[in-house]
Amino acid sequence: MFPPSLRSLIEGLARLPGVGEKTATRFALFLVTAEEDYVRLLGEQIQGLSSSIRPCHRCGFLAQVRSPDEPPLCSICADNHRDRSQLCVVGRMQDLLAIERSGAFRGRYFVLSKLLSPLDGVGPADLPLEALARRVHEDGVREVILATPPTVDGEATALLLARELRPQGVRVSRIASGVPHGGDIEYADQITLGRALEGRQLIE
Amino acid sequence: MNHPRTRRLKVSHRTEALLLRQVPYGEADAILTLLCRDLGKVSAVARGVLRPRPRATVLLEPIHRLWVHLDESPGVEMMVLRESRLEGVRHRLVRRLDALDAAGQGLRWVRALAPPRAPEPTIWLEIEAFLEGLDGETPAASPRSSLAALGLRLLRAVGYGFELEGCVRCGKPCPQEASARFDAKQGGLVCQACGGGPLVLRPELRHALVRAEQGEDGALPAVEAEAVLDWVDLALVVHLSVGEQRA
Ligand SMILES: [Zn+2]
Ligand SMILES: [Zn+2]
Repeated sequence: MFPPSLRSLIEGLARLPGVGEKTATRFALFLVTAEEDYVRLLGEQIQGLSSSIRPCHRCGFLAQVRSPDEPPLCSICADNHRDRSQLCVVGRMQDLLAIERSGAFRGRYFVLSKLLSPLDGVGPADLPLEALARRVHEDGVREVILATPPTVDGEATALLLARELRPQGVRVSRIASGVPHGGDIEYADQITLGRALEGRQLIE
Repeated sequence: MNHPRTRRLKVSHRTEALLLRQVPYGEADAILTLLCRDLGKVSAVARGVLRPRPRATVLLEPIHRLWVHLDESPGVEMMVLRESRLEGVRHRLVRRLDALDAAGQGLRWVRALAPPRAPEPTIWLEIEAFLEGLDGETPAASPRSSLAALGLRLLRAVGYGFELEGCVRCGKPCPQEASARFDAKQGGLVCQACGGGPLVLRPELRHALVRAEQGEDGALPAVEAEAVLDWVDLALVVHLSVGEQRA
């Protein structure tokens, strides 16, 4: 029904998260009839993404490329007001963003991009352990906060990182896990409840 | 939405299970490989499980024993996961890196060895006993030794067990107290007349292998674990070409 180039645009758009065939068609029809300047700029922005955005060379988060010979540095690593002595290790960028939204952390981050996975055979050699150790050393980090997810893979990764980092003389802590705020204790799973009880705190 | 006739024919299964693999499918779904106590190895789709907040009725984790509710439609190979929860939580195992590593390898072996859609009570019992052992307060053997013993038992369970009492080619029995030539690729002892094997098995080790294969915990000396793991891998390469899956 649609001309081939529109058809392939719809197929491309439908691969975006949260976008189905119907929404993709709507987007495509909008773009076909939209102002030419807007469409050209959007196209250029998308095309330039891979060369203008790179992982930050210090933490792995997204960073703007300023010049070809300058290693990319993200806004968090570039912010001198942030506490260098605390380093929060996360599995994915999305987790970094979530912690940033909480506003509860003023240190810096390290994004692993991968977790240990016993089931899939992802082992220590597949994780950026050397880069993390270098980061801890170079920044004079005093505490590493492990914020990998509370799953078998996330816990395994935390165990490994703690084992690797402790000899560096750095304090290693694990974020607490437990019953979610507004959640129901009755419906919490055994692991969550076990952790919540283990991580209990005195009320002063 | 369902056609009334299809709905009538749908079969529900409720069983204990172990997660053998989870592969993302689309944005929020996952394709699972499960070893079910009553069904053997099955594939199932878990809808919405990769959403930031999956439904509270679906909790999927490897290593721990799960309870799952699966729907099976006639003529459709892939089942649909309706519900899953943690049934047996292995608190201690998941805190030991070496045990986790061994558990992952054991589950990958099961994934490679278990035939699809056939109840395998022996495989279920072996892997469950292995994981429970790793979760024990004071494990009977090192995780690598337990893993090596599991490898021997799984091979036996699917009919690829090593022949350790006599020559795998001519059947000539091996005297109890004699050393014997062994070839993992050929599947066991090989007598001199049949060409022998690349390794010499001392009688004590040969007996230890037999006892480990029969289920005796801690029968395998820890120093032999790596060698036995290599033999299990060689046997798997020959039978399934899955040796490269060992991490
Ligand atoms: Zn950065
Ligand atoms: Zn022979």
